Amino acid sequence: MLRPAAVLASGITRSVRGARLLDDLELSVGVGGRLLLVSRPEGSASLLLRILAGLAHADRGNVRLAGVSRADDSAAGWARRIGYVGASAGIYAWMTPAEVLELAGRLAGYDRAERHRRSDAAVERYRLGASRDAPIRRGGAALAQRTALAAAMLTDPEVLLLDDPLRSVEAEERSRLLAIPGKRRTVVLASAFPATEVGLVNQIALLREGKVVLHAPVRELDARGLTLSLRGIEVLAGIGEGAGSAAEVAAR
Amino acid sequence: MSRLLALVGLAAHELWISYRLLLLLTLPLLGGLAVGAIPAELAGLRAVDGAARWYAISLCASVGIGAAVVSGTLAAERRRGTIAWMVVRAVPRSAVQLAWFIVVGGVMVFGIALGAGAAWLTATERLAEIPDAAPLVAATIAAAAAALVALAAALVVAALPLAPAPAALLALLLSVGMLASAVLVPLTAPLPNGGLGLLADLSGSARPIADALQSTGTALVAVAVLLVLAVVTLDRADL
Repeated sequence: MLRPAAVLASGITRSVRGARLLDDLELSVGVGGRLLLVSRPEGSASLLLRILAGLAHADRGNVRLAGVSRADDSAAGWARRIGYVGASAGIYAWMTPAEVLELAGRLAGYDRAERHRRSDAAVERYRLGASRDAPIRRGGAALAQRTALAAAMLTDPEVLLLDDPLRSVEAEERSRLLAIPGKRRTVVLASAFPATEVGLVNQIALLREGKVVLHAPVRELDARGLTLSLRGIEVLAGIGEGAGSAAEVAAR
Repeated sequence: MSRLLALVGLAAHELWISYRLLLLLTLPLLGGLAVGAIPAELAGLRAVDGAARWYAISLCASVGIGAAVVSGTLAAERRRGTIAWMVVRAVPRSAVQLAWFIVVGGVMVFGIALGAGAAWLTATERLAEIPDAAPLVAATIAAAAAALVALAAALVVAALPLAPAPAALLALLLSVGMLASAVLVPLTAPLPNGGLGLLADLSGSARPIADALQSTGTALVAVAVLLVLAVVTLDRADL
């Protein structure tokens, strides 16, 4: 069944210090898709995610997430419908998880009662209760990253962008936290370690030389007896030793 | 408005918890109090003029340090991802800059007013007859506007892709250079940094209040231009 696109990026081009990391890139992820994004060079996937989130600019191209553009800065628009968690938590270490959630709720424009309801739910789901009212610095990077994910999920976003998140969290707990609920929620996960994302995604995409050279269901890996790893994804894309340029691969 | 208030509170808390808010407030105040420690023979022939000149010199240092603190702090916020955390919640980048400008500008202006009051009290303590305070008040307002220019320039520097230390150093050099030039070189035109020049040479102006008003006006225009430049620069930057 064809689903409407929750993530739509067209013609995205971006060069950094003369190197073209994204080259007229096209990407479409249907509603409810769970996409693992890997890239060579490694930084391209992260850059694409930051462009999608509005943190980095593209030299050219358009982005629409959950039907809204970045220009919609109303609380009920982008702020509630899009979530992003980066590799670093980006929250003040002196804040407590409760304060972070309260701030996220205020920035999303919720009234007090709604903020409390959502904060309580997030504290429970992300197991922040024990450290809810203690400064985040006491819990270290793991607590900061869990809190960042909880704050991103506070608004129940339709599209969640995850840029190599929760690396400081213990592997089993990380997998539990990244099993994001919601059948209609679309998740795009950029990862430098695809093997750690087993069970979290149902689609894979490979960026090479700035283009999407593979976008396929994970089950195609299984069908070919390949593992969810960068090597496995590259083999599925038909890239091996001396396989040629991204344009040639994309043309196959 | 609710979002801006939240950001202002956040910026104030961040400055408060790291004692930088106290630094921004006390440096100009200490400058004003230090005027009383200057021997009468160095303070100048007329007590208030001499005190104002030394206060203007101390402001070059305290505002310069304040600009460096702001620039370094915002560059660190970018690097740490704090600004990005807000931007992904649809907070305009300009709102983050405006919140920092409101907090630091407000504290800086309050500190300058306190410092000027301290300088006035220490200077007039030596006098039998209290002179008219209006020229000093007008010059202090113009000097505070010049300090806001330095702060806006620091926001422009903070929007550049620089690490915190270079951003702080560049803001320090820019602001001290801008403010000290007004103290060292007598100004004839109402420039944005003219308030410092007026404060440094109160008796040299035939119309101190009119000159102060003109300098304040040009300074506020310069603040507006620099803030727009800071917003445009940060809008084009990667976070």
